[in-house]
Amino acid sequence: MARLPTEIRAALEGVIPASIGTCSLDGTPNATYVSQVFYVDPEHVALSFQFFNKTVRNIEENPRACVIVTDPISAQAWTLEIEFERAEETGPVFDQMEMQLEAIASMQGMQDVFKLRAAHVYRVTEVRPGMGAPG
Amino acid sequence: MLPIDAPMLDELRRHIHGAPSMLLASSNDERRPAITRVVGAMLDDDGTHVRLMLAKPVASPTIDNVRRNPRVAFTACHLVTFETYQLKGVIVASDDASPAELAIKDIFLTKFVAAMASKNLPPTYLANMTRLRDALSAAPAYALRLEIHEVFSQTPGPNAGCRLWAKES
Repeated sequence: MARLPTEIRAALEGVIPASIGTCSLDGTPNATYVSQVFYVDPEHVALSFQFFNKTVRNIEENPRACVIVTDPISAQAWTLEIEFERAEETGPVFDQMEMQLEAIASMQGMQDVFKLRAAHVYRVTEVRPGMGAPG
Repeated sequence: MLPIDAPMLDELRRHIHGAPSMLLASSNDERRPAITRVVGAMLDDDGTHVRLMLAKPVASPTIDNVRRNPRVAFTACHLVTFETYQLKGVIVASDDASPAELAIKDIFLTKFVAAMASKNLPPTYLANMTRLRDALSAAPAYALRLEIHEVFSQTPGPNAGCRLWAKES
């Protein structure tokens, strides 16, 4: 178990889209972008589950994922190693994520596309500051 | 095996060479995924391979992974439209980037930061991105050669994940 440092919080506001890597059991990786990596508590983050996509199918097979989040001011990037714990379809985390997702969708012109089905809560197992790399 | 058809190849070339946001996912022996950003890419003329440049200061886990498990996923997302493609396949070579490949990296970084400047992002962020661009331009890089086995659409929405082409189909 790792703890999220205080200075990572700005990178979890959803201003700069985050990216996620997952892997199926047969060893085929998948890379995509996620609208939200939401701060739950110092040891957990939640990712928005919107579509039944390859990321979700991989996590059902293999709960480990790797996420990159970026601070919208300093451009500092952080790599999080995370493991899926549970899905929440109601409750305070879901409600706050739904509200934040609406704001993100509005900012990106994606109001008709983004809809939160569940908050997927992950345990943070490692946090590494990295070189904020464009791309 | 059918090659990627010409219109799709043109579309992929326009997309990848247009300074999108780019990611490369890999995994180790224990199926633990790693992800890194790609700082330059070029599709070969025949569309069978794409060369990917990775900045050495952030690429070590990926390089270690692909030497054990060459399967990777490369994703490129347009900064404004969010149009996204994912190419899956295997890494068939990984070396230090050549002078020509370093030039591709520098062109990408310049175009990428210019594209970011067109978005409504905080000025401080853009200033820091420019500083990072300069640091990355000066950094050494790896060049990986990805043999393309599958092409997927990954534009956000219900059709994300739709397979557009497969080498074996």
